[in-house]
Amino acid sequence: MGRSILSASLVRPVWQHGSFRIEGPDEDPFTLAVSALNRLGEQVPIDGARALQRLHLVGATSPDLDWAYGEALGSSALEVQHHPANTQGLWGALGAAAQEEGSPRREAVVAVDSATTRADGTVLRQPLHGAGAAAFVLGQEPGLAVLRHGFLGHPPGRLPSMKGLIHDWLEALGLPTTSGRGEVVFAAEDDLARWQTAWEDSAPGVTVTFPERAPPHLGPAPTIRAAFLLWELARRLRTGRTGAVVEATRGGRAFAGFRLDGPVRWLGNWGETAPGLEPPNERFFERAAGVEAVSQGAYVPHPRYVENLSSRWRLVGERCPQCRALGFPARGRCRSCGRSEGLQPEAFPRTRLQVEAVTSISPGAQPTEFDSIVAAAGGYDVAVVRLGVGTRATVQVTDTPAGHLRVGDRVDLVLRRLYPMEGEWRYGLKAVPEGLGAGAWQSESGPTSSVPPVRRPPSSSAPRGSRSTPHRPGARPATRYRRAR
Amino acid sequence: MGRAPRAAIVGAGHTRFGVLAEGPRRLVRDAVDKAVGSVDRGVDRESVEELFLATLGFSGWQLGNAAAIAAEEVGRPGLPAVRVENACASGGFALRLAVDAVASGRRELVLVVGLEKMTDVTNARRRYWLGVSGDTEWERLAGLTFAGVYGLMASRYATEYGPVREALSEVAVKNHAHGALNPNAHFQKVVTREQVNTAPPVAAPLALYDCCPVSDGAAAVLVARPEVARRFTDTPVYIVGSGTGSDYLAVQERASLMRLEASRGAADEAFRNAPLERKNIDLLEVHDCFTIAELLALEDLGFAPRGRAGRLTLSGATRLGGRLPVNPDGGLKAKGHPIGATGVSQAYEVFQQLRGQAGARQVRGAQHALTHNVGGSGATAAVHLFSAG
Repeated sequence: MGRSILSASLVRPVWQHGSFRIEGPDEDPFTLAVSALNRLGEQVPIDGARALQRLHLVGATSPDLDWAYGEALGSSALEVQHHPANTQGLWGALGAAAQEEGSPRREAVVAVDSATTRADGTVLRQPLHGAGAAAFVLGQEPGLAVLRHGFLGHPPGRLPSMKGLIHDWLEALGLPTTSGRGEVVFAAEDDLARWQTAWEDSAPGVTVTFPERAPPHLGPAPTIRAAFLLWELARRLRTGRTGAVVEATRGGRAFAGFRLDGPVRWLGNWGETAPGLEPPNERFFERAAGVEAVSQGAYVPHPRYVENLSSRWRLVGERCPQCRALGFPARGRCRSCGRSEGLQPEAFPRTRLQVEAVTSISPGAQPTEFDSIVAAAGGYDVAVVRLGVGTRATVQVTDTPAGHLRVGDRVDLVLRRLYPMEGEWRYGLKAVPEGLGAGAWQSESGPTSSVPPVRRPPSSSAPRGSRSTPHRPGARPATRYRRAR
Repeated sequence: MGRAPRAAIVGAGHTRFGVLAEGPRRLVRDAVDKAVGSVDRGVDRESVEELFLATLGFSGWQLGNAAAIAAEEVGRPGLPAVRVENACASGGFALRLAVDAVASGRRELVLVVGLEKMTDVTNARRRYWLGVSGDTEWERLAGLTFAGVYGLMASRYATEYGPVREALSEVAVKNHAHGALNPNAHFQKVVTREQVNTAPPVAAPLALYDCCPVSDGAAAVLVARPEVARRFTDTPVYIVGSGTGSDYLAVQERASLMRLEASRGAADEAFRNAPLERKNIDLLEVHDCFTIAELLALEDLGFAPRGRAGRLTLSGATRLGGRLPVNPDGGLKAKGHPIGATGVSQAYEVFQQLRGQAGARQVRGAQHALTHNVGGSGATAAVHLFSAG
């Protein structure tokens, strides 16, 4: 028994440099991965009773934060495995997650590429490729086809013909070659013309496509470009046909293939989208070359920081069993009746929260620990958002210039870097205007409109980038961002 | 009006507020010397029984045990002394402790000193300290300092009650006009409505002239038991009401973004046992750290209906010569806001006003006054009521 892909998601930063999408000053591989996973979580529950058993990380993710994924996802006993930051790493992770090993619990695979941080932590001044994250959650669900996969390798020496290789691959995946209307998304390093002829000769019943390895905004991203192949397949399987992704490397000596039978829920679109935002200045790229201590008057020791991460990262408050009043953050005491026993955790939704008040912090008015954010992206807004009856949260606004948010607007909350402190980055929820920003629910219709989402917020119907954010009269934002051309 | 006063101010001293060359020790000494020198019949420093020093310890200057240094500068090493810290309300709470000390009969004469030295540090360190009295774990981590917190309040206030820019500007214009009459004020120049309206933003909707300055300064008052007050002067100023309050530290957890429940509670307590009603008050010294704070104070203290403080301000009623002058000394906005000194400075101003010694900024015929001192964005507040002797 294997697992099915229950859902998949893609996120990418809003910032654009040249043709690449790159992460903003408060993003890193951890926040990109969590954003992709949180998008999945809105579609397929992956917390509480449905908590993930294992998380496979592929890309420039640091093992130092392995502990944090469980906190961010609400999975108390999450096992984290790292895979090489390349295409083979993603295939290996997907293969491992697809194998059901006696537990029906779910596993997730996240592929992350950072434009500015290498896997060893090296920070790049000029991005070599784009940034983004793709996440998959695998598990058992009646009615969904099991993800079948195959890996084949040939030792040095004589190699079968291309036709022979293709025959072997399709057999490994159980795909018919002459009947049916299967789809194959094929990628190889070279000889594409010869491969195309070989496919036509050996599998006339199969429609084979040879997509670009990745869309321009990713460039030569080492990890998630493989996920693009899966997305391309999923897009082609909207109508419920059978198909596979097949990648040949080293002239066909190595093969990795994944077979999907029918559509997959997939959030996000790697096709054409509106241009991203241009960094406002060169200091955007002067991100900290490591985690340094920031002098800070309002000091939050590490134990106090991690004490209430469920509130800080997942917006968990509490409900009083006696008077039913809600409270946030969770403090173990009812703010209404004073009861301190039996308060129940209650997670507030992180999307479509209404702004009750907003202020725009001009450059120079920020606390010192936010100096680097201001240097990179200018001033920022801070909003008080309504969570529920009598409960609010105060959050910094990101991915959008200061002065654009208004009272009454809706925002989504995403996990981002706050500032470095004593050798670690501190993370917290920030707000992005509804439907804007990496990890926010976006407008893009994925390839799987034939599969109804489990829970999809209403915001997802608005076209990305169509939202008008006029300047506030009389309060011109100190920083203007331009859309990249 | 039959209730007995709880305490009496018999002397008061004040340094200049602003960017000063003097260090904290010198500021304490100067304020205390002036307070002692102001006592009409003189006072022997040896008769002071206890010292309450209000200071945040801005920039980390002597965070621990600063009261001992103040006692040294009073010239009374060995004097029982304690530092009182409730952020910007430190002065008001130090005064409250002094009132309790004499009202309980435990002391006959005590000294309250408020101090802050804020301008001798780098800009980065100053910003580092300016938010330490707000909520650290949530508001500060969202990138807020106090200007931002009050910016949020102003944002909500404008949403509920309509445009507020003109009223905010009038608060700034008025308090600058008052400050121009106060030789101790940090800013002693008038500003125009246009200057205020076109100032660069700090934490929109608040702009530069909506914010009080960062100032150095000290103030001191001598507080005596009412029964012995006339031993020192024929014109003591009596403290006839005292109230304090608190609220959630983080604004997000409060009942309203537009009310300071700490202020309301403190005012209610102060009036509850006082021989005064609000209609008897001739002048207010309110905590206008930001212009929106003065509007909120007028409503929280019960001098304007909700949402109407702006209209009251624009009517001119709160100017000198108006029906209810507010902050005749320039307020925090123009006089300056050396954190620990502010609450004591308010008492100093009332001492001058109710004795008819406020010079060009004198509120004519003033007999009763209120001071209102807020900690941070309203987590704590102290209110005192005063009557002329």
